[in-house]
Amino acid sequence: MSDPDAPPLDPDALISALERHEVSFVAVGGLAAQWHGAQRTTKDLDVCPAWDEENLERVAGALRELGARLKVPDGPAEGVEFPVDGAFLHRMELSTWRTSAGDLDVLMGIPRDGRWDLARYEHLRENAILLEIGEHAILVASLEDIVRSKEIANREPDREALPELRRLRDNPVDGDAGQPTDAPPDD
Amino acid sequence: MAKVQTKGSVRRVRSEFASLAEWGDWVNANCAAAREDDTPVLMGQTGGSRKRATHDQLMVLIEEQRARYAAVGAGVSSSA
Repeated sequence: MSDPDAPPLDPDALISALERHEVSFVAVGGLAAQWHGAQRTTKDLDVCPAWDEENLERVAGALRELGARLKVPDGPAEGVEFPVDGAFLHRMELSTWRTSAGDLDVLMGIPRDGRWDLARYEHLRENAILLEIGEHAILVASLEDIVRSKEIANREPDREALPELRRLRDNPVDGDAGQPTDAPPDD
Repeated sequence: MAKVQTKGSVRRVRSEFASLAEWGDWVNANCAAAREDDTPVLMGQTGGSRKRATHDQLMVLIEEQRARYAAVGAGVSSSA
């Protein structure tokens, strides 16, 4: 069942904190799929940051600013508070956080082949779209990468989401979040 | 517009939502919370050592963090 204690999502606060701390990341997971047009999704933000020491310290800074607490199995609903830093994040392939602005998952990568090799930030960035929303520009994993990861992960929620995601992948005109344009990169 | 590192050609898409706040309102009205055990914390690195972290394993790591920061008197806190 859905987590009844999950707080509302405040993506403006989450994304703004990541931007203030200059975190390099690609958005993945259900909300990234929603930006591609998916309707079946959950209200937590999943991000794959660049997995280097400096960037993980920036992620930790954003987490601290957001009052993040680690979600621990069989732990308190509000999560567990402790001094988070980049070294701790580096020990976690995937960590789940309850913040003042909603739930945020930090992933080293998403599955990209049957051996559970991970597509990391550098790979995801190459295929990503740049979603412009208000004053923000967010790198969002490609639908192809999202579909592949869910096919490999093959958990129950992945199996539930896949028919819609495959439909969107195969019919991108209906499924995109806006009017796509090809444009040169910022740098 | 926030600066984002990109590499090579990138496809830009303008969201149908005017702002992140507007999009957040839509998400909160239309999306369910994740199921509690859908996304377990995973420890270790790729290459065969992946494992779902247990409560006890995580609490050991958390206590290590707390002890380390208490020892050095670092001003790092997870509170906003």
